[in-house]
Amino acid sequence: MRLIGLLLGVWTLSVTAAGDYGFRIRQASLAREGELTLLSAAIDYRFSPTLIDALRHGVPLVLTVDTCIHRSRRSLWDQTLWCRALDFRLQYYPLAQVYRVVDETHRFQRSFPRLDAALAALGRLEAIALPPPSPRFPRRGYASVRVRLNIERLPWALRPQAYFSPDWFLRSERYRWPLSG
Amino acid sequence: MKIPLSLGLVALFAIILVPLHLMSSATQAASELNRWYSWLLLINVVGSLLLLGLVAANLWWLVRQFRRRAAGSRLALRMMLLFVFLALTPATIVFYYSFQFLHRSIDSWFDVEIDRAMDSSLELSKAALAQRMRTLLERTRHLGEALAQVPEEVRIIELDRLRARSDAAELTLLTRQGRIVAVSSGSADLILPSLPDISLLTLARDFGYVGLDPAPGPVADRKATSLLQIRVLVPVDLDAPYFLQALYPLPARLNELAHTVEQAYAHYQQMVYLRRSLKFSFSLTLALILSLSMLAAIWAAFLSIRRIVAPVKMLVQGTRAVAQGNLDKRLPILQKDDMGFLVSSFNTMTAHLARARDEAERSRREVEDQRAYLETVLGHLSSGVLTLNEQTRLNTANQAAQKILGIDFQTVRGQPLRALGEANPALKDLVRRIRDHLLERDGVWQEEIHLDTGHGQKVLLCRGSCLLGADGRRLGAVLVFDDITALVQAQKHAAWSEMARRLAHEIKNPLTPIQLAAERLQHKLGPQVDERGGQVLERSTRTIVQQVEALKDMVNAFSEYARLPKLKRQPVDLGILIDEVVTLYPPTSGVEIDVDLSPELPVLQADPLRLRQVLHNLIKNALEAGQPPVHVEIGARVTESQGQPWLEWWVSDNGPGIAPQRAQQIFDPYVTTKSKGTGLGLAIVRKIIEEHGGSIQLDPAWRQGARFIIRLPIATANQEHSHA
Repeated sequence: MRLIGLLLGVWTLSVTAAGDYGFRIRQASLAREGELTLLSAAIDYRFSPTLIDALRHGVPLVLTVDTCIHRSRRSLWDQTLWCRALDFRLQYYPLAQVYRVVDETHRFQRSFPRLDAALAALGRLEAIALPPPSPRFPRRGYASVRVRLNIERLPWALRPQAYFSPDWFLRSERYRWPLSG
Repeated sequence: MKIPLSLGLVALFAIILVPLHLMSSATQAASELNRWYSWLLLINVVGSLLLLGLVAANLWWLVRQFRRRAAGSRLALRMMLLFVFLALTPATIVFYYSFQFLHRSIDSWFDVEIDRAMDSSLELSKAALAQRMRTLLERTRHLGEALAQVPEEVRIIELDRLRARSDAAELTLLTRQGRIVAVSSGSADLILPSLPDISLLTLARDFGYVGLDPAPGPVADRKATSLLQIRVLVPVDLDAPYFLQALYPLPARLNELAHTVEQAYAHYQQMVYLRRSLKFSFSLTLALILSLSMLAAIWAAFLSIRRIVAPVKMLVQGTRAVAQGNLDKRLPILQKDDMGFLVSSFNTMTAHLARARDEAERSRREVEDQRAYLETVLGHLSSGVLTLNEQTRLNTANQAAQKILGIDFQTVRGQPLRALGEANPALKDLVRRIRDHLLERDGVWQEEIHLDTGHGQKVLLCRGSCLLGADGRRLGAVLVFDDITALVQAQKHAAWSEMARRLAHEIKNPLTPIQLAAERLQHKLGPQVDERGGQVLERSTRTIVQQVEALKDMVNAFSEYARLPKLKRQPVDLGILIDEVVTLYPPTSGVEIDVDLSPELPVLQADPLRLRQVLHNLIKNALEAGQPPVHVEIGARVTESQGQPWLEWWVSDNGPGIAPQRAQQIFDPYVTTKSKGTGLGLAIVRKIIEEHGGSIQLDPAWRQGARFIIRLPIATANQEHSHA
């Protein structure tokens, strides 16, 4: 499913002009603290009007941050040693008129009166613990982070068209940095 | 083990039905399968594509078979088109109306009234909470003013007191930057107060902020109602500008009602938003279900049709094989049904046909053997055999028939009987006689027929018989004829020879005593009679002696005719032989002879003395028949007849000639047209010529006298001819 999603994403990105929306990872780093692996990242979220409209209509959006550790290989493609995903659910509450951000991994929630505030909060990941077990940082290894709108967490009726719509099929480039093993 | 088709089809539909059912279930909002919808959709799409590929491949194969005009392809294509039409028509109708019904059903979920009701319920909830929120804002302002009145050292204590007085769950004093100055909470296990977002501090800078806020912190259990609280922020002017944040929990009932309204409104809004997507996804699901079912059905139809058409295909191939003469074709019986019975019947039929063919072949071989046997027998028969079919057309003839009749049968085979006369005019009389017998419908008949061939008369003993079939039907006629010319001649010669020998014997014996008696009478009575009587006696005696001499000559001629000396054959140059004979007849002899010989005459194997005798007899015959000077012409050339070369020579004179009606009799003994002839000259000539294997005839077309045409076979040097 991911492979198909990736292919569709590449197709979508290739056929659509880059709009003024999308996801971009400005910076990311991994740190070890005891048994925990901590992720810090700065992410820019710019939602498409379609996405904002869906959010306003009560459609919950789940943003998934995929963190992986790879080993470089000369002859073959790089080997992925370890991957973890963090899911953040964003939902609008019409009565309270707030945007609630739920960290589904750590089961923690916060509310924001405005969407930009909620997105800014989502974009600041400061030493977020990744689910154990923690990996060993390999020599000649590197880490990568990517954020995407998790289409599989959308209401079922939206999914088929979301795979084929650039307004929905949003994902960042993979941000890579070397690891000091 | 071969799986039955019906079982296979049931399994196929079961396999297709499972992901379809799961996908259908996944469209239920509350279903756990919801999360697998994309996978199920993909599986069904891939399944559809696979089936489409299978159907397309089968269709392509079928079209190719049809174009190649393969056996059974037309039936298969016709059945396929019929099935697709029968299956697709109701399915399309059902799909169309289901599609319409689905869209109308989804549209019926939404209504302006419901929209208004939902909006109103939300506004009502907001209004109800707004009143409460205004009260709490006012209350918090009072708390802030109260807090501003107390010195810094006791602010934390005052904060506790104010919280206890105000029903707030939590009071927090914050700097303008959002840092915590003091906290008072009703919860004992509070580690970190619920901090407002920095944007709220900006909003609260002038008049304060009040708003509903889902309780922050750990996410509650999914089934539990999420708690709502009222967050109030008011500016507090102390020695430095601060904010006082108060969190007021909603009463449980109010919380529950607010949550219900919010959930319902959010769900309805979500449904409004998903309206088109739902239509699309439901339609897609419906189309997939239909396409999968249809494609599976078409594929199943292909399998079934192949299974149905297989025996028909085999039967067509078998029939073609039988039509091409392969009667050993046996078809495997695939099914024990009507088609199986048909195939079994076909096998039985071909077995019968094969047996019949074998029997026919055996009979044909027997007939061929019989035919070959008959042909061999007929080919070696000296009798000519000729068969006619029921239309009296020439059917078969053996070698002897061709030889006797002097025809090439291949040129007249299958033609009417009269073609024999056209091919050989000498046979016209024979044809006429045969036709007469056939018209008279004589069963079996026999007749001796004389044919005037170009070089002599031929006598045929002809026997005819009707050919009858097994059912007594008249199939034609068979004619058997023998060339009895030689036999008749031989019989004639034998008879004449016997008669000549007897005559010679009976006449010759008393001649000498007669002659002696006459001479004695002359001798004894001569002196005793007077002169006149002596003259009478002498004249009578001389007459007796002369007539006896004449009788002796005649008897010698008879003896010569009766004698059958053996030919002494040797190479003879006919030109030299003719020249030698002609020199014996000088002009004073009363005959003028012209010789006209072809320059290249072959050497004959003949008896030169006999041939000289032939020439002498013919010249003598001309001399006796005509008035001197008699003009004789002798010529010779090479000719061909009946596929064989002949030396043809002729002797003609300018005498009175011979009447046509006597042309055949003049060669018989004791037949003469001359007053002094014995009638044996030409008979001897013919006998010599026939002994040489040749023929002699009087030319019926010659009108200036008589013209004899002699044909002698140009034989090889060693050939010996038996006496005729």
